[in-house]
Amino acid sequence: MTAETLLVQVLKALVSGLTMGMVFGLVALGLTIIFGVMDIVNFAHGEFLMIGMYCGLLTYSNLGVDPLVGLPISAVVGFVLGIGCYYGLVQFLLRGPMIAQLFGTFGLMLFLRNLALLIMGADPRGVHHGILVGKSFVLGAGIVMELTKLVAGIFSLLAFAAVWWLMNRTRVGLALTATALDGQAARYMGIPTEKMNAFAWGLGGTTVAVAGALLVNFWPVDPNVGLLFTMIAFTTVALGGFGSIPGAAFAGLIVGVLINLPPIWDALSAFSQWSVVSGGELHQFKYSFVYLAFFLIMVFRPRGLFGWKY
Amino acid sequence: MALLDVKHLGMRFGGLQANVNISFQMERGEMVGLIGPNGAGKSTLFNCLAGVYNPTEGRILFKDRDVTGSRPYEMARIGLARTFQVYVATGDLNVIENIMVGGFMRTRSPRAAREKADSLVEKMNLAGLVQERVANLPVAAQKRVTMATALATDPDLLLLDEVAAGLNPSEIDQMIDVIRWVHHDLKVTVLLIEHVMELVMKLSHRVLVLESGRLIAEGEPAAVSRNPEVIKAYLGERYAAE
Amino acid sequence: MEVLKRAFDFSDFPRTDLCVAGTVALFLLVFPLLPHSSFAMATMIQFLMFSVYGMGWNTIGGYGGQVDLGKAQYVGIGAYTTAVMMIRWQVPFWVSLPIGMALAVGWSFILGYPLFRLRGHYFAIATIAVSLVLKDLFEAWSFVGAARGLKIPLRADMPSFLYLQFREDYYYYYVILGFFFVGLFYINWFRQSRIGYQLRCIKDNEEVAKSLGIDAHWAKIKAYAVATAFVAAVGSFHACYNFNIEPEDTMSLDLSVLIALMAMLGGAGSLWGPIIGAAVLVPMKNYLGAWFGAKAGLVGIDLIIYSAIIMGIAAFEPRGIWGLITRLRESRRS
Repeated sequence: MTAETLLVQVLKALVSGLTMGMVFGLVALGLTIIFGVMDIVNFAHGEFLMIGMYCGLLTYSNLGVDPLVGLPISAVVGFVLGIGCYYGLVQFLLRGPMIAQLFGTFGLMLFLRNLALLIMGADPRGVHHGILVGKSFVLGAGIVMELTKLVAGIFSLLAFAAVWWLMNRTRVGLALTATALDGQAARYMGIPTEKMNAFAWGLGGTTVAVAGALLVNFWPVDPNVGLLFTMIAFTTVALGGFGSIPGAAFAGLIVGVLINLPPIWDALSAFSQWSVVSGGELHQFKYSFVYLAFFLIMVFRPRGLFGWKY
Repeated sequence: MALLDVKHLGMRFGGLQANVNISFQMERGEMVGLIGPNGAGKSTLFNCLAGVYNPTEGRILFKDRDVTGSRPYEMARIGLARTFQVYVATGDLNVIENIMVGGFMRTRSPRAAREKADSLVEKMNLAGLVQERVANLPVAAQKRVTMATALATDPDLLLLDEVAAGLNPSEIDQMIDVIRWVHHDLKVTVLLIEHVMELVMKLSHRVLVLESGRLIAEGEPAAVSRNPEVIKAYLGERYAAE
Repeated sequence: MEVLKRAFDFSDFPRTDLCVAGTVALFLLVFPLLPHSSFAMATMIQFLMFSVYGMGWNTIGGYGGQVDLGKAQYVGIGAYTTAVMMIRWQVPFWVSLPIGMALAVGWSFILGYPLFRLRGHYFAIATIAVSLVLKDLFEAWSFVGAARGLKIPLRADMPSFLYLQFREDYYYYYVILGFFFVGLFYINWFRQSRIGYQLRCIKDNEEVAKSLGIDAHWAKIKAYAVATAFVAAVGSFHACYNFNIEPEDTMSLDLSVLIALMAMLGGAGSLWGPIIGAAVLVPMKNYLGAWFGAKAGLVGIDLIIYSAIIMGIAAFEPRGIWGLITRLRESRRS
């Protein structure tokens, strides 16, 4: 393998990683908001994503609407899902001990996953005919960038900007931020914290469902896809710092690149003809890197990059 | 050999200096009170002694050993016990079980721990309540439970953290008796942090006064209560002049 | 001697409880002699396995209060040690059993040291993370058969107690029943011992525990090691009972969750809790799965019911079935 090919491989992985990373950031955003506002960790987060993905898939296949155009539908579904879960389950969990909260959202995860299995079947399904699917964008020097990923990245960035604007420039958003910073004080100021909690779940649901609808353009969906993304989201949130929105964005980028790392390693080892580990199998571990990263972050720097709530 | 020797202790949190250059000693068998207005740094000093904070300046010597920066469980094992003001328990352990945990520091045998707990229960007026969950008890009883638990570790020095807070006058009188018993019968040296003057003045051989992180007075209760610096600290300049 | 006495000392339970327990124990002893289907026998064996899994989990998850969702990795270590040693070196079960447990416990100490710097959700997620990494490793490691797993060959000298290979299920049943009783007495000792009390104090209020001379970090690691030993032992049994092991069924997250779930449903932090939880969920899972699975297109409905139960318990009675019973008793008393 020549140096040029290696460089191309590395750049390709990097670009891919960054755009995917933007989407990961969006996935993690909901989780970090919910955690910031009420200290509960949503194990079912990946399942919300999965539902968003199916949403995108179904608006396309049943309504003939391109997934990207159908984003608002996913957003609404996500919002309703989030609020529904809050009023139907989470508000009771908040009164209990931590073990109950953990199991409550874990139960939710199993519930949603198996419901999806029942309704949608186990086969992975993808979107094959959207406006952008199959089209690519040549970045020069042989780096081919799938348009779906690029657009997903851009939309994710827009979504982030929208949420940031919401949290910092609107009354509702400021109320939410206040509740996150100090629930009691917020209550004294007349902020209806119960409703804020529900809204946080709604917002979390929306963002992750939108991320799902974007993701499904280049990542096939099946009922089990949730777990992987839950772990990715957790790692992203841990790295960025629990509760931090900009943290989620930066961490998402890092995790995105991390996931694309093993192929870089494979390429490097093929290039130098030097197999560190049993060479070509490193890509199997790309998710293990994520899990390992989570573990290391939590042990050595639980605050993450920008965390204020650990 | 002083039991406790605090040398130039300082504790800084970022920009805030909570304790400044505090030095004092305690001999075995003393009962010393630590008072001061709110925010004076009493809790910080307390936590430095208990091992919860690691002092940023100075040294703490306990039984002639340098224990500066030791962790709470190490301090307990060396012989320094403490009570807790707010006892938030999820309710898994009841009263007797709580006290037994203290006893387990010195023994592996549940029977021995139980015996120790039983003897303390009797003396501290908790006999009817042994099976209750601590959270369900009235405040005065809770305080006695936390004291009994700390005492079950057979400490040389016991730090009492505002044990009179929230008690009515008759309960305060009972508490005074309990502390006297602890000091006299169990031969435990006691350091009390208190806001309730009555308790401190009645019990202490000596009183230390903190203000804005510094030790501003030290001496017998009567003398300290007349000390103009002390009066100024609590009531302001105007009263000190009188 | 005092230790043994304590292991058999159930005197702090009311008479009714002991009568029920005694009846159940009797039933368990004579079950194979009663008329039963092979499906029922398999269910009973599973129930016993999950009871022991749950009892082990309970030490750190129940008494210790730290929810561990990564126990399956140790099941795998136990199972694979036994399988590998039997296949490659003809090592008898009863020799590979303690070796597997030792390996698992050793690994648990290595992991436990950094792991217990965490608490609550972070701890739970970290346990998931580590367990998944180990599973990935096993799926790629050719020495243990990678994703395809290992198959223990039938021996010529079957039935063999030494190698734990039997033709009849009821031999297996009595072996795991033995594990069950050993485990039960051990946990009974554990909860009345120093470490038991210390753990419960840590769970209640870690600051207070530390002020009483307890090295909380180390105490939790010890409990974690105990849990691991239990789980690895059943893993070894599993290898011999199933003959076929692979990472997907011995080391999966689903298994970790089931273990924790049953203990929690029955009542984490109580002696009977994990047994009750297994007694409810294992038959439910098997019979529901058989019922519904048979009907085409209703895959996973048993899990849907499961998860609904979990959510219900978490929301309304987090202390599980035993917690419910205790609560009812207390309210009737006052």
